[in-house]
Amino acid sequence: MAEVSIRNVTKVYPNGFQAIHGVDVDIEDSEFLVLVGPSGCGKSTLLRMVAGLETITTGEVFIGRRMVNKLEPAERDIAMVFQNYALYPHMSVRQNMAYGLKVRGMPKKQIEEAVRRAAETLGLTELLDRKPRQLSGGQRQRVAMGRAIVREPQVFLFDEPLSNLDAKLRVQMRIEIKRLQERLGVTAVYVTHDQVEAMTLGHRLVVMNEGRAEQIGTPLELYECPHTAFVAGFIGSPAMNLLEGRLETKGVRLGREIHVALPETILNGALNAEVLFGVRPEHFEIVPPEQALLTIKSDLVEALGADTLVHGHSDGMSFTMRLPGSRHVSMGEDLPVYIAPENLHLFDLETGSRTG
Amino acid sequence: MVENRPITNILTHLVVIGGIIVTALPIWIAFVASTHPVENLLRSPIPLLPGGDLVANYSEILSEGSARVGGIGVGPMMLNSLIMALVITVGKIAISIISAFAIVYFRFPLRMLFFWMIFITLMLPVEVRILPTFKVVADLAMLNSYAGLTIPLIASATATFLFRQFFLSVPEELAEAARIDGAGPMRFFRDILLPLSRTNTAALFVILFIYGWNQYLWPLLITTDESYYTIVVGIARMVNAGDTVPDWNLVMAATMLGMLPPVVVVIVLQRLFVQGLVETEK
Repeated sequence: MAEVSIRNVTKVYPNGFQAIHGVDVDIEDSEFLVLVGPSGCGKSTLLRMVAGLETITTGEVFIGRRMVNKLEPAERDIAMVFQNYALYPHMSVRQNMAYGLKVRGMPKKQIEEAVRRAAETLGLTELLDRKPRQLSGGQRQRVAMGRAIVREPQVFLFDEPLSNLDAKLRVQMRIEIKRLQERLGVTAVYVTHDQVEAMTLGHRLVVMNEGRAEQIGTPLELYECPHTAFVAGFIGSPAMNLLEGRLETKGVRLGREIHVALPETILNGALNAEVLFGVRPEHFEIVPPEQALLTIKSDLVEALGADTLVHGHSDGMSFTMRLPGSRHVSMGEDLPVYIAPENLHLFDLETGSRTG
Repeated sequence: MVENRPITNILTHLVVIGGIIVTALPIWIAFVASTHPVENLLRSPIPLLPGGDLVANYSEILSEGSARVGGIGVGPMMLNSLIMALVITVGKIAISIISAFAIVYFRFPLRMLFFWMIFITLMLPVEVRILPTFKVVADLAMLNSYAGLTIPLIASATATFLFRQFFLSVPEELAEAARIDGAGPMRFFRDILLPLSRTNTAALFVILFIYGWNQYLWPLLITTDESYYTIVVGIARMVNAGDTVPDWNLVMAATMLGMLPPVVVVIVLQRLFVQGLVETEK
């Protein structure tokens, strides 16, 4: 059990490519932190630097107040679960789990006891004598976790551990990981590109983009108040509608004709600035025409049961809306919609940072 | 691929049977020849069915017969061959698996240069470098010794290359998982890589054992002392027995005996051998 501090860490590869541009995160004891971002954003690199599998170019990593920059992975008291599980193919489940302890020279009796306990925790007792190739994907995943927990490390590191599983199993394992982490109370750092996984698992999320931490916060903070247009577009599914617009007195102009009135508190008196106007699909409300901010013509309807996704356009701009499943929408229907001011997001078009 | 028409069935069988006849006929003739008295073999047509001298011929070659035609007994020659083949095989595997490990898993200066130097020697067969090698071995006073027979043949680009390709196909995460588990490089090599290379090693063992067993030119050059003759050299000497007509029946009996150890090795390691050549299980 330990806190992890990542202090102004950068990574430059020998070929000159800078993968990480100075990231600062403090992870509390027992916290579940998720690094999320598109592929190539540096999230795995950052995790591997914490693990000690990549060298740290500048900056410092602390695990439990101990600077670990120069320590071998085995000395950092961490355990890692890999995307492809990296189980030793020639060893049984038992040997796979015991290997780390054996290398450390733990007495046989204790190893047996530790493996038995970990196997019980994960429901692997029946499988202890099987080889990895005789296991299903979900079972292999569980063995990989078993190998991690058997050592009782201070920190768990997960590198996209669920992306090789099918959708149903992924949801199931996600819940198991969350429960396990809560029960063991071990600090965890988890890398994923899947924002649903990130939102459901993490106490806090770090949204990464091009080697930078765009925003660090709880899932709801990121959802409700994204600091940048990138975070706004990345968190939430379907993605937030982001439209180019220009600030005017008392509102924002989208396209040629649409003027959305905005309260002065949001506008901050800025005029004529080019902005990105953001609104989440679920924040459109269908209202009587006289109350409407704009009218959207639907051109594709996806009925999902609980929700209905409506893709439509207005004045040459495309919108995606998430409406209650009970609202029947037909193709080509004109939908008068309203958006509550608190659900509007404005970002600077140039920098992408939040202005209101 | 899998068709079940009678015509193709017959055709494929014909091809297979034809292939087997072509491959097996010389061995059959050698066997038949080893069961006849020598006079039968010196007039045509040569017999195609076994004769009655099987026991007589083999007991003669195993006792004093080969000493008469070849210099020393079949037993000692087989033993020499076995020692040479085993030392070459084990040595080649040991050295190449270690050098492949170094090349794949360690970053050191001039790594690629060393790899290419090893690789380029693939292009130089024994015959090309045989004179300089002979000179070196002679200067080191290794003529007429097991060391001289085996050491120059141990360095192997082929095996190094095969192991390198296999190591490259082992997922990197395995090495990383082992690092996190606290296993150092040698521990990783012993606990993870060696067991994973089992089938590849078996396949190489078969190939290299046959290679070592069948060496002819090198032992011929390096040994003048009869007690170091290998079976392959011995058989060749039996055939070139000076002015007299060779005792073909005895030569063929020795040949049959000389074929046995490679056959045994292939049969014993066959399952692993085939797995090693085809399997991609990781």
